Amino acid sequence: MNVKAMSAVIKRSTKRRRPPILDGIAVLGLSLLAASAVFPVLFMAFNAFRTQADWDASKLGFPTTLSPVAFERAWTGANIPTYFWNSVTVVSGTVVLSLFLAAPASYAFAKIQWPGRSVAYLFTLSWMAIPSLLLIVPIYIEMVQLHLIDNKLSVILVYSALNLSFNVYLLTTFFRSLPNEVLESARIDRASVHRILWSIVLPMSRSAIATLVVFNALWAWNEFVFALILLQSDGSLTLTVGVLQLQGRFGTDYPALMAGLLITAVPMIGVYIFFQRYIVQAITAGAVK
Amino acid sequence: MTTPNGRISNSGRPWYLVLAAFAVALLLAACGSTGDTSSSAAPDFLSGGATPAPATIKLWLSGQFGAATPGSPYRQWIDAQISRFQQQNPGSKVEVSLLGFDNDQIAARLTAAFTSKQVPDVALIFSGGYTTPYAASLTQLNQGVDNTPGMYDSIGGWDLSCAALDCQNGKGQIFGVPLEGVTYGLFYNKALFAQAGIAEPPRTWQTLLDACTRLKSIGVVPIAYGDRDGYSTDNWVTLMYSSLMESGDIGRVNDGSLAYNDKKLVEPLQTLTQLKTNGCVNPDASTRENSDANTYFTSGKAAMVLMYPQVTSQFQQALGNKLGVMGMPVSGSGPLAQNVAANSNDNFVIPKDAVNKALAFNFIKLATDETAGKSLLTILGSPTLNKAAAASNNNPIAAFFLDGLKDPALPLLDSVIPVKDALFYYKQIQQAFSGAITPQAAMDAVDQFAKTNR
Amino acid sequence: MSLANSALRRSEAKWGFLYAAPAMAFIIAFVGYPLGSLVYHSFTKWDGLSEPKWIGLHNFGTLLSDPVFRNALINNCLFALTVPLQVTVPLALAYLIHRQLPGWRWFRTMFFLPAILSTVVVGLIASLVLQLKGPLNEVLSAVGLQSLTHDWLASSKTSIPMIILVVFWANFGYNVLIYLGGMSVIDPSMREAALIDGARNWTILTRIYAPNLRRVMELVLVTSTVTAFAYMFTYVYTITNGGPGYSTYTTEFYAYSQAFASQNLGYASAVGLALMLLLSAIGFIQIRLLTRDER
Repeated sequence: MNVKAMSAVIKRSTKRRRPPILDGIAVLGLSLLAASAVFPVLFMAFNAFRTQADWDASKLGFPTTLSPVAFERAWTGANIPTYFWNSVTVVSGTVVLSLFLAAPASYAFAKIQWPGRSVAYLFTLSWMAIPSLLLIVPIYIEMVQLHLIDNKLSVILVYSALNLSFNVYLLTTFFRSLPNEVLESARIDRASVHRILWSIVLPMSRSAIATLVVFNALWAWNEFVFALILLQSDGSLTLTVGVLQLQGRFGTDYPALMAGLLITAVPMIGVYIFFQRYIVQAITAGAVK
Repeated sequence: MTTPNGRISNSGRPWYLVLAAFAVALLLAACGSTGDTSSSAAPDFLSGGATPAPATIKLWLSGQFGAATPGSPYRQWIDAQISRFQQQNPGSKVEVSLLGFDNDQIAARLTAAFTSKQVPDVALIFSGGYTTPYAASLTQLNQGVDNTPGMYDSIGGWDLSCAALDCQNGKGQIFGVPLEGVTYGLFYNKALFAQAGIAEPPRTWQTLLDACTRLKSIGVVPIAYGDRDGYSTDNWVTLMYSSLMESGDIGRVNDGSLAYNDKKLVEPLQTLTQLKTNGCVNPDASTRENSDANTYFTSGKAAMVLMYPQVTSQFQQALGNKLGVMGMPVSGSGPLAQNVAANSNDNFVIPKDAVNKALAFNFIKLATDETAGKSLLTILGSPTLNKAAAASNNNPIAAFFLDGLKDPALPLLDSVIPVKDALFYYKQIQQAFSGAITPQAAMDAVDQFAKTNR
Repeated sequence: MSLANSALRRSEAKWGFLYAAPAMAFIIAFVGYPLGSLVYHSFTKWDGLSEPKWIGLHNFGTLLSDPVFRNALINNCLFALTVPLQVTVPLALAYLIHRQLPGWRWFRTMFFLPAILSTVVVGLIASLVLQLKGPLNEVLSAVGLQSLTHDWLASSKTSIPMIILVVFWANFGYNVLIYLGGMSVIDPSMREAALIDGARNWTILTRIYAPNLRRVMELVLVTSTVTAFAYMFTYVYTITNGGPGYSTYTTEFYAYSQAFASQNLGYASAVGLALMLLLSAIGFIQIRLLTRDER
């Protein structure tokens, strides 16, 4: 393009530039939205350091001291060490089990030709349409029959099962996008199916697997209803259920409750802050195909 | 995207092993996790014979102790009894689980436990409507009570712990041992009353409304009310039934011979709504939780709150000598108008499928004896049903409640009726108070509901 | 295909099935079996303690005339109104970030934060914020909008829109990220060309980006619908507890309360089954749309 044409192009595009005022409004709007997004964390944090008297006066306000007494009350009052460990166990178990079930199946749906594949795929995916909460009663009954009530394993199994359809959908979509040439050349080299999956495909799928791990971990950590019903005694509760015990019958110790909620939220927030770039990449990449 | 290099390792097989390991783990977990379902042919634990072998018993707490988190005075009392138990039963321990404070949640947890047969050894649950549905899954305790000399006579308020809600002086079927009683008292802030120029606690409904007006004029919420789940309205209206009912009427409501929409039940509800229309309660009465009403009161923002005695220690801590308590102002002219509705609150039960029944019963005996009763009074201000402990009380607030328990007019309605009906009833009366529906419509609905469930 | 290749493929085919089998078996065991159990128990009357009693279609008859169920179903549909919000608004927000509005990196980070929090935490905080003397009303009064203050949870007319807002707020960041992913593969020169032609951003968004993001929009549509019908329980439980009365009950909340609080496990199963039948029709259609090009 010669200089004259180029300047003409530039002139035209400059003339039609979007007025900055609209941009300003957009930024303002997005800032308000972002502020609202961070509000709950600040709400919990500030109120965990304020006193009950402060809270009675107004729920909004800056703390005047940094004394962690509310955290101590929450820590002992809600048996947090035990619940925390339980949550960690449940999440780890769920993630590992989910991966081991979904990865081979997704590869089979994506890259292996076998009779009945499309029917099986549709079958697997169709369970996604079932609202998991509606199965709360029969799942509870089944765990009773398996003698798994009050056992963390029950929650691990249930979580993995409920998310399996979605996990398979995610991985299958991703695997499908992988170029076949690589796999073909591996086949020509007489690599077995297992080798192809484990040594080639999975290493290539780091971002999708990361996405899977993040989703399932987040979901399992924060899940409430099934944990509420399947876990009964003090020693087996997870953090999400256990922390609600801080709500009293005769009066709630709100600073302690806020402290307890914050303790529940902080690990995931920490994960997000540290792995943020990676997580964002994983989610955006995982959604690409 | 990365390209594969020629490094194809020998790593294809291991995933089988991992999956196999999982399967094995699963099976082991499934088989190994319980393994403690007892046979019901347990030795005769109630005959007071040989000492049971030491074990760790599971104690579930609901009712007033459902939220007895460590650090709370409720937990303090429990822990005190646990150490006594551990002393008297060397080698044995107690594992505590809390069932929460929300009645729906408690009912859910109990259903889950009894259905799955993963039951504790001893549980503390509401007597009456929360015990009788599970009677078939509970151990009958008569033998144990009979074999413990003086046990039946040393404790009061038994009737809700028995089948048909009638212990027949110990001859009926006993399923629970009562711990403390419940009724309601109108706690008030003496300082605010003085400030508003109210000379003495109102004894009639009209004087209550007058007191409201005075309190409003000094900028204070007259009555703290937390009715999101209908509990406040329930507290009030339960006491107000005494103003119109006759002896035995609650039993008649329970068996259907007295309809829910009889005027004996509708009128008190209608009277109660005057509190809302006269601005006697906080404006967000219908969306605040019951426990929040207590905070209004203890922070001095409200002058009165109707509560059960189990909050006494909390209130005394917050208000000291400003704390007073009065009876429900009379709103009708029935024969029982001057008496109080009251009954036993929590009772200890032993599920049929419990493993350590003998130890469980030892715990129960201990937790309902005179020492336990006395500390119940001193630590919590709760009205113990142990007669000797009650006689030794010198807490004036507790005295008020113990008095009412001596000669109750009626039991509390929602202690007696089935849980299902109670949960529906709460929702209807909550709407009646908030003005969403009329009291008559509310009680019509409850009547309809109870009829279809009978 | 060479002979060797097809033999290889045949042996691979066996592995295709064996690889997929554990996952399918697992689903059948822990989702399929409960579904069967649900169907069976919906024809019974059961209190959880004694044996279930077969009563045929009686539960379904009751269901048809049950006002609470009808209302709960309507509430689920009302909550499904978040779906258009969830599909369109995050798209616009993603575009603003995509074209690198000042501060875009910051926004992208912040927007995802609500999704990190547990729904219990979100619901609890929402219930505290929406109180009569709570922060929302405080702020409204502070900016002079006193007349807009309400006891938000006192009636389903105000609490349901509030819950819709809360659900949207909790999930929008997640959808924004998904859209960003989709936008990142759209050829940027299309946008530049359009700008040069004098197109406004709105036109670019609707005429160029949206059509290319159809797949992603479908994904968001599915997940948002599932949320509206499957994951409302915790919000309802923590924010209104179904009240006042039964006005904010959702179907799964009703099933839960029937099963565990009212000990009507048979009826609860019928409630669940009814909704499931309704939804599987919708879900099936959605899945077929999604996998249409991939079969």
